[in-house]
Amino acid sequence: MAAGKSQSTYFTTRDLVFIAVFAAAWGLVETSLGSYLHAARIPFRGAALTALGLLAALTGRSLVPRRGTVLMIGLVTALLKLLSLGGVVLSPLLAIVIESALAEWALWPWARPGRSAFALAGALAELWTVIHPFLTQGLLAGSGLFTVYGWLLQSTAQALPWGSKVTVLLVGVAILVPALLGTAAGLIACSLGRELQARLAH
Amino acid sequence: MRRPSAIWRPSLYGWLGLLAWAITAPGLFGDARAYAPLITVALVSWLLGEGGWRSLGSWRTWLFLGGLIGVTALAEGIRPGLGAGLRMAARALAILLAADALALHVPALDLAALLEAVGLPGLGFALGVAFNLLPALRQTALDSWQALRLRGGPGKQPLQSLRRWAVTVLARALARGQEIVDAAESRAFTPSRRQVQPPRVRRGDLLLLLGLAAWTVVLLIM
Repeated sequence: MAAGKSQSTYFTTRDLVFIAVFAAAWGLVETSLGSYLHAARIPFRGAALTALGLLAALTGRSLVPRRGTVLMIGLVTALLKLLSLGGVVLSPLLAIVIESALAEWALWPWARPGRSAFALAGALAELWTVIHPFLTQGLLAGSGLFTVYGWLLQSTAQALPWGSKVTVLLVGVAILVPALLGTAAGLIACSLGRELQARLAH
Repeated sequence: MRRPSAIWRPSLYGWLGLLAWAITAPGLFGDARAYAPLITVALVSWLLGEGGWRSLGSWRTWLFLGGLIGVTALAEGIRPGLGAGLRMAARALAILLAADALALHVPALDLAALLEAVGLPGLGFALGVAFNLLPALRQTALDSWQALRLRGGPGKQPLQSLRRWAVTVLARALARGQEIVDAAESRAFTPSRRQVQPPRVRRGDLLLLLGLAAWTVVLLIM
């Protein structure tokens, strides 16, 4: 083990190992379960996969009650994904880091967050799945892409007289489903964490 | 073709710089110069690495690029739209190839070491533990799922069964984690001491970054 400069410790060895466990769990969800969900062509599979990953990360936060835990879990998961390369990695890496950062931001005000904080964190992070494709496509293609989106929306509205109502409905569903999935992930993570703490105590 | 020797090959900083350049440079150039970032990234990654352009093998990449060109042509008229679409596609492809090169040539541990150096101590250790735990975690999940199926599957209360399965898998992983903690602490491991040093800046990094800066100036003047 190479000797290096000492830094102030925020996470203990136990914290880091537990962070690793939940990062591995998120990584397992992304790699193994991801392939199954995509093959099964389940609707909203991207959002479902994200919810399961957030479930792992937020459960980890419940067991490592320090600010920054969720972000660390997200960073370790993103680096794990980089280690187990498979095709283009930029978009999922960005998604994992941003989702964990959003969840961390939602939990930041509380040293020991309760159920509602976990639910908020899950919902906020999950809602990123709605925005993420636009961010990555905009990053790749540049600002000109948004002009194209504007034209697409306008053309669709003109071509379909009832198009605006259907569009509003579809947008509503596209936002509501991830929000509900994220809220559920946060609530389940809170209770899972308590159950695991009780198990570890015995 | 002989590849440059190790000292002249870029490391983390060079490839990160190339990715950052691929993201920011296209915004500086219009008209035919908009294709320069794509040509530059392709040449650099081919000359300094072995290409490794995974994105080109993905149908999603081609679907995205084709859709970009097609929809832009419809939105802005065939001739101007095609030009704008091709420029956007060239920008996107440059970024994807630069990201591929970074993923191929930069070990994740180097990235972890860099993040540790900027204020995230213990990240490298956590990454190493997670990487080593992954196969055991996968096996535990499979074994527990098999045991559940042998007992009749999720049954009439699938959510409760799934929850019990998840708790079993995570509890076993955490128990294994506690063994790792004990083993690390018995070897006087402490997260306050940096375990991995971030890579040093190589000549190849400086050459690449200075080259990109000079090339940007040339393109701006043209």
